[in-house]
Amino acid sequence: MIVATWIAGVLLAIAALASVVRVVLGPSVADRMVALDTLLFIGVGGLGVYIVSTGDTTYIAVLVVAVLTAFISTVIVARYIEAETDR
Amino acid sequence: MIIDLFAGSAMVGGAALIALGAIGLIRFPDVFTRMHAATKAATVGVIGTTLAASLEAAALGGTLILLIVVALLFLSGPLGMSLLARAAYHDPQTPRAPNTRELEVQLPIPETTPTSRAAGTSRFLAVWLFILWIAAFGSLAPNVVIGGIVAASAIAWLLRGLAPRWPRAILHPIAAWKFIVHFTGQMIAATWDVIVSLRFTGEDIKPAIIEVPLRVRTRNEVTLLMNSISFTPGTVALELHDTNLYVHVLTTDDPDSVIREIMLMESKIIAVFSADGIDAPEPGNV
Repeated sequence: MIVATWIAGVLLAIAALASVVRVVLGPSVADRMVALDTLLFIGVGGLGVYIVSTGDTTYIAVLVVAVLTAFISTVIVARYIEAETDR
Repeated sequence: MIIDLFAGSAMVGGAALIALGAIGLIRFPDVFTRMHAATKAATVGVIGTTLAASLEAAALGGTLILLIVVALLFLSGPLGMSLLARAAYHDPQTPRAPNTRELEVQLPIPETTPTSRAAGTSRFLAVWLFILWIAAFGSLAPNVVIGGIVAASAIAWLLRGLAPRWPRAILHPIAAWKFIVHFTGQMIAATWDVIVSLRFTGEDIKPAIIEVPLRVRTRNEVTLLMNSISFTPGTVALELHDTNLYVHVLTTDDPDSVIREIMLMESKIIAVFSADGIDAPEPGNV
């Protein structure tokens, strides 16, 4: 299980690095939002790995909040882009 | 021991899918193709790690919350991406891959009686909220039950004017089961599709925007279809214009086969909400 946790952790670290590169490069707002969404999902995945490796369920509620935050922020940025287009 | 094995493989597999999705973010040429990587590979990956965590979570309440997270991911992931995709589709400043083609359906569409648009209001919001409350606390202690009843009724009363007027729907159980089996198969195929497409570079990939006329009319059906389409191999729902759905396809040499898959999903959804549970006719057999 320790080996599996390490493999999953390293994979998630690579994923986080790739998402950050996309956030920096852009080029459009929508690109950055997709990358940020993925970054938040990587955090959710990381918390899952933490729960599996320790059996500690203290942070489970954080998962619900993170998933909802990802959704709401995506919706808000989508509305922002549409408002910019309409102007 | 077996549970550990299951949880371990779901965790590593999920992390690998998230990593592949993030690599897709780097490699794919424009925002729409990157969305394919984010909605399919990454979302399915997060579902994998969350399921692993729910297998290992010691308490029942924890397992239930993690299953709620999985349900939320299925609902919110594709929905948020569809909204963002629509905004980016209309925004002239968002660059699009230069080889994106815009296509219309060439297939004959079978005639079906359009489903009705009749709407009613759901009276069960308070009940659903109460079930959610109990699941979140994972106990039936008296104070939890009383608190749940008070909170659920209060929220349902506060939102009474805002509650959307959803059509009252009766699900056909056998058709619903068939749909779930079909959807699961499509989701796995879609994830595989994204992984295979990672070998393409910017010039080789052949994205397309396809206009598909819809046969479904009610809100339930259209919402379910748009969410399912974002998990169908190679497609993300872009925009709903009257009864035409615009779909972005990751890469295709044969647009007809993509449309056939969308319409197959559509006929399964029609069956779920119909009284007799029989699939609507499929395109191409006309």
